[in-house]
Amino acid sequence: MWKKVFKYSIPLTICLILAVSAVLVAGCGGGGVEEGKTEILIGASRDITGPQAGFQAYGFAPLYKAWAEEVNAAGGIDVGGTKLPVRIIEYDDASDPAVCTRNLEKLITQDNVDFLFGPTGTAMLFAAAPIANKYHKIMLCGEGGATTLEPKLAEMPYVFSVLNYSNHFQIPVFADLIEEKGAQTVYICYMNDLHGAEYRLTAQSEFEIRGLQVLQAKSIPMSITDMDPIVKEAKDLNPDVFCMFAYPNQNILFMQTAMALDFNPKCILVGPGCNFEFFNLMFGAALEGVCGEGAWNKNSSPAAAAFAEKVTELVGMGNQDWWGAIVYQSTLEYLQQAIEEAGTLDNDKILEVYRTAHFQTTAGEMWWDIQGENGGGLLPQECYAGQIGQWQSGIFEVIDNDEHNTAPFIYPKAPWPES
Amino acid sequence: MDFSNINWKRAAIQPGIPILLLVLVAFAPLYGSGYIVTMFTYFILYIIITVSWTIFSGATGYISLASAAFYGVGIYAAAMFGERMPFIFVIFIAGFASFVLAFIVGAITLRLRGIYFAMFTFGLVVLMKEVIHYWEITIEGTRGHFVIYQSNETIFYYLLGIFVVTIIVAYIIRRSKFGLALASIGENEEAAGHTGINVTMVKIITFAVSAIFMAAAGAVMATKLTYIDPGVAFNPMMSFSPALMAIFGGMASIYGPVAGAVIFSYLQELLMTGSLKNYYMLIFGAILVATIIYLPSGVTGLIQNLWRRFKGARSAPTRG
Repeated sequence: MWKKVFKYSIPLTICLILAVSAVLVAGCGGGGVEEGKTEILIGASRDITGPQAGFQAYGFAPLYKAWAEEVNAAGGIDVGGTKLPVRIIEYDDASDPAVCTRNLEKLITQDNVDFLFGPTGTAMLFAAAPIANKYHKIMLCGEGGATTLEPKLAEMPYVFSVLNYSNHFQIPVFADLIEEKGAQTVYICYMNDLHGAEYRLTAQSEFEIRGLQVLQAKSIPMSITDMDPIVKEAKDLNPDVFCMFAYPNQNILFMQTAMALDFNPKCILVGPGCNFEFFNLMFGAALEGVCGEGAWNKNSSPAAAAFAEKVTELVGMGNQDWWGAIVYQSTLEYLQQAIEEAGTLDNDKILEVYRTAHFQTTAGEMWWDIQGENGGGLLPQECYAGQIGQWQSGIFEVIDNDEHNTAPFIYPKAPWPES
Repeated sequence: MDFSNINWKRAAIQPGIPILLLVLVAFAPLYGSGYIVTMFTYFILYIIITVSWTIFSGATGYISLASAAFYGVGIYAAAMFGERMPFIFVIFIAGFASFVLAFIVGAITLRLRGIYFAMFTFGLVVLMKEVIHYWEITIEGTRGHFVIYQSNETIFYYLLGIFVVTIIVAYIIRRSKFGLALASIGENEEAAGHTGINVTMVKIITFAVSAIFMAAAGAVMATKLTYIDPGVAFNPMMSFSPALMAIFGGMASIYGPVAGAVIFSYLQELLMTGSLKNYYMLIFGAILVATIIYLPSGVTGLIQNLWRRFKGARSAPTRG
């Protein structure tokens, strides 16, 4: 009989030991901060080793880490009279949404984080937002934002989408700009993912509403290594405006190909990527007149000038982000003030502050445009430092036709430099 | 009915221990934190996928890399029908769709052997991912879908149910004439054919049956992911993981894939979120290479060998 017992019980016992040890390990780690809180825990599932890992160097991550250090150096955030330091727990999801959701659940249910920072990229945001909402944790989204997330935000009161994106002011502003300058035809090239598809759809509809003719809308894969066919076709069609809605790698490839084939339409919009200082360092004078999504610069305000210097020191000149950096920083400052105003870490009470409060931040006065009756939030246009930028003499100038403008829109753009 | 030949002690021991374990796991939502439930959910998911994979590939030796395709079909079934009908029907639809897909694919490809079969099945994953991706971006103008979420406990118990059915089916297949036919195909396909086994039909049916559980698990997990797109649904890791887990655990018994899935996913969890998270891939890779080189029968094989040695040493005749 014992033969049988051992034969079947040993493998099963291993499973049992593993399962029980898992329970014990999981039960022992991470807890212990529920009562008598000594710190504010913020969790983030980020792409640390995957295809979007670059954003750890020049996106939301360096800014929230610097913010936490700054807050802690000042003694912490005042929560109902007690100053609590901030600790950020980061897990790697390598841009895998399934891992991201699993990480977030661990952060919420095991590490007992108080708030969440968004993951890297738009598609990941889609995966993370419902989890944050399901567990009633305020999430400040980082890189990314999507038109299709907007209707969902009304049902996701805990999710706050930080960045501006396609229909969230950028493309309508750009369409107004080129319409005003008399542009008539546009060629759109877009990445065949959620980001590219949304920008393409928004651009096509915004351009057509204004009577601009979209000559072609062509998708490209992430793995593209040759932009010649696209650029040659665009050159043959001779559009007034060329829009490139892809990521830095593809955008760099486009720029190089456009220069090599001497394709120089009156206006080029390239992004994301064009908003980073490394684009300027890479292309120099050739970037003159090229537009990108964003935007802010040292001339946006004295606070922006000081912040620009701080960020350059933090991430290095090449990693300066003239699109998101100031918005990320400002929403972090908003979070801090909202916690202090609420005097508690109770997410529901802080949400009440988010729904109504205006706070002063680096980008200026900030408040949230709450979606639906009591849904999540988007930032109103006034809270951004700008929507569209154009490289002019090495500065990513804000060319919006409103109070954020730091320079007039140059149209047509300069020819490519001869060298 | 003649009960006299039944070994009652064995009958009590064999199912007794698994049932005890199952009961312990089933009560996890009552005594464990939310995180425990989540972790057990992933354990069960990987057990289902790995045991399903072993039903066909373990027995026949055909390395299928189509698991992600069947799992993805389940995920998309939940995305498409989750809002329109009761969830239990969605799971059945997912299982049926995957059965049909696997049957068709099996009928086309199960004449291929070795690396060609592995390549074709992996090609199926890539094909489905790209076709759906193209459809969404070009035709629908977006990417991905939201899925109505279920509570963690609901997901856990659905998966536990699928797990029980998977284990029972795997056990029945293994112990039936059908299982013998599969084993003989795995040993020598030509010889199996000569003994009168309809080799192609046995392979196709087993392949299709194994796909049902993968899809059912996918449909349930979609409600945990809450947002799915072709990249999530047809993630190639879901094709490689069950093969690796089964190799790691050993394929000689049902316990092997179970142990492999639990150890592997627990290790993954520890490494990815522990203090060694930056070395996760390195350590994981090293463990895998070491397993393949030094543990060809997997962890359960190692333990059984150790036990035999221990037992042999104890029962060896002593001198003098």
